[in-house]
Amino acid sequence: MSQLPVANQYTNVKPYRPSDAGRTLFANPQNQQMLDSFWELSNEDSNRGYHAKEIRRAVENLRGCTSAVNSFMKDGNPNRRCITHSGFEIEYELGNYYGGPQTDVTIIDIRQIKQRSHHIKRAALWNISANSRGRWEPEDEPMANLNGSRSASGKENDSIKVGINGLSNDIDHAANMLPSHILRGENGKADKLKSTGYTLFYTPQDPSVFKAGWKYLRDIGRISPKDLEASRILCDQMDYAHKNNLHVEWTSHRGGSKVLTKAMELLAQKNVKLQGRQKVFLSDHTSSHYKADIARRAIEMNTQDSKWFNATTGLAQKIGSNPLGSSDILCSINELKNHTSRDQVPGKLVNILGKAHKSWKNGAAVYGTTAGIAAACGVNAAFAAAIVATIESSSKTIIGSIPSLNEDYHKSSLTPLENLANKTFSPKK
Amino acid sequence: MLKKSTINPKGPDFRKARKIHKELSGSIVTFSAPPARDPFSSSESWEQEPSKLDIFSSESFSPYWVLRKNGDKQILDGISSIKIYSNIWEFRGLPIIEGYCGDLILNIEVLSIDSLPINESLFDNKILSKHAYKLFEITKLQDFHSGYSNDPKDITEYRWPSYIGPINSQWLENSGLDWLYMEDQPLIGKTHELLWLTPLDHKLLLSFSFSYTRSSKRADNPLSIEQKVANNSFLELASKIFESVEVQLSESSKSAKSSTHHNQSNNKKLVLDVTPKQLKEAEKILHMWNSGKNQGNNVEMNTNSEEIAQFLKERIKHRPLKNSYPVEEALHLSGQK
Repeated sequence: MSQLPVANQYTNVKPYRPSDAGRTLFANPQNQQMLDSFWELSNEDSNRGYHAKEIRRAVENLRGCTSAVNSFMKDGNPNRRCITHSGFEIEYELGNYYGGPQTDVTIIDIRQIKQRSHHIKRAALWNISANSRGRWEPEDEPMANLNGSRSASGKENDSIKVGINGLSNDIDHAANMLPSHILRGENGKADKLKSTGYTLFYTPQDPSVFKAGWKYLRDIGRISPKDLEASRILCDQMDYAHKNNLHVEWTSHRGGSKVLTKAMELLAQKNVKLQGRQKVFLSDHTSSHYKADIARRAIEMNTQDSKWFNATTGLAQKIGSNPLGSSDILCSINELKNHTSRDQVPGKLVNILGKAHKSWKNGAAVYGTTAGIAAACGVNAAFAAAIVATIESSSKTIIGSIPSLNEDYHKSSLTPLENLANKTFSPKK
Repeated sequence: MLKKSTINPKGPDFRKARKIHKELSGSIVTFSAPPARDPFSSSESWEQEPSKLDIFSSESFSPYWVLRKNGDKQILDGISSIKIYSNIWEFRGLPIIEGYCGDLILNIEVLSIDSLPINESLFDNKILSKHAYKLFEITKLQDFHSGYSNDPKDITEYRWPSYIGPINSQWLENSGLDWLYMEDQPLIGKTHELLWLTPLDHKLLLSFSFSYTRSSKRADNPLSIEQKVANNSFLELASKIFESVEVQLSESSKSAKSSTHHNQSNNKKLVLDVTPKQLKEAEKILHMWNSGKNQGNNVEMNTNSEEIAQFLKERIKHRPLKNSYPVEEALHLSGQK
């Protein structure tokens, strides 16, 4: 069922460096040679050596879990998998055609993805330093994992600061935008950041016209394949930091929170507990703070900071994330304002205020006060208040019994009141 | 070369420029510059330098360093600097659709060539040229970045130069002083530098460095950025600011200057150029970075090597600036690759 020519595939696969623990890894002689060269390289203390170490770590991990968080499955072939890392891909096949245990793994191929800061193909971690002119520049090549971070050691009082970008022209642009968010407006610490530098998790962006805020509105709840790939790579990096006891602070910006939230959710699925060694800060209004909060608590991020997101709310919060319940209302208000004929306005308003009332009861704040909603719809504030009073009282039950008001199908207990409002009151011009 | 799709970004309004006054141990430097427009942060960390500085005290100077592509901050021996002034201006295209298109950073420094032998003086143009080009060589020509090859199994660590230059190097006159000017051409990034140098004393140089970076989602290398974002507005702002510069040397500087050369006509103005070997290498490097496929980008590929050669030929042409002296002597320093 695999796509490789038959000759290449399963001829002469033999176990590679068999060990007692975990699954057996099979590889054909060609791949055995390639794996051996990576093993050799990983003993070097050089850039190449670090990348080879990462490959080695990923291969060894296959003896444990075959559905790692950064693994993808090939369409139509449930046994063919691929581990995606910033610097390489490992394609492997589950299931042994020689009658051995079902869970043996055969390594099909390892492809290196050489990235340069001017040749970005995939999400990766980069060291960013300030040059003597005052601009931030990425290093030539990405780092294999957070241990390659120049800016901090990862110990408790020296956590590694990582920025996660969202919308930007290129890595250069992203590298310059993130520092002020990492500093959280504390400009006194700017000089220190300039001398140490920071780490950037750069996700390549789609160069389409939509700007931050608008694009993410359209995509609420959905994540693009590129962003999903980036989240998985990020999740793998967070897991690596966790296993190596590194302290990390993740700051997302301008849409990067989507990738960050998804990565946290993936970690939660794996039941990883960070024990407070990592923190997140969403300097970003484009996605759900609520979802991010659930995810970060599930994986035991450090939640001591009362301010963990940038306070300015944007359209996304208004629409549906924070607080719960207002999305319905906001959309309704929009519908009321722009898509309702004049004589239907009062009825719709009742509907809105009814919903608002429900969420008020749940303790969430609503977009504007009653007066605000009324003003937005061009309705008298007193009229709006009267409706609220009626909703709160029990008189809506009585109104519901009047025949002429209950002609149509009641979508909700408010329908009769809506009808009455439509018949009786006229909207302010 | 301006195509229809080229963005022509707008910079700050020069009418809002105000006079900046810096006193350097008796020498006075004034110029006009618009207020800062930082595209990246609202913190006010630009224009923070004091207006009075002592350039004869070695304590005011700090080591001169340059950031290398592998992240190392290399400190250069024998040279130190004080930052006199720094500012940044954002250049924007159409709102929402284009937004941030680049920025121009001005850094005015006084450089001290500490390693200058006692019998040499920067007022001697030959010495000034020699040190200026040496500095250019170390900071730009010896800046290597990691190259790549199209063969996936090739693990050679290629080191390619990141710049060629000096480009369009010339001497010009401004405010009664002679200045040495040069540009560079990046082979990988999108940042260009315009540099003006003039001596203030035997060992001291006044340096105006305008470093502009252009940015576009659809251009990731020096060739494609030329097609996507025009640099006219950047160059205009830089020349407007430079033309407003006025320098009054202190008495001690003036006497130091006159003691160096009794006969100014003997003070030859040497100009350095790029070598043919540099050009060949540059063509190859530009080609490699222009032909790589960047994911998700729909850039128009300019992979034709003839077009690249043509672009470089245009780029290294001599374009005299205002009040420029005619090129007397083109020099090729030995050791220039």
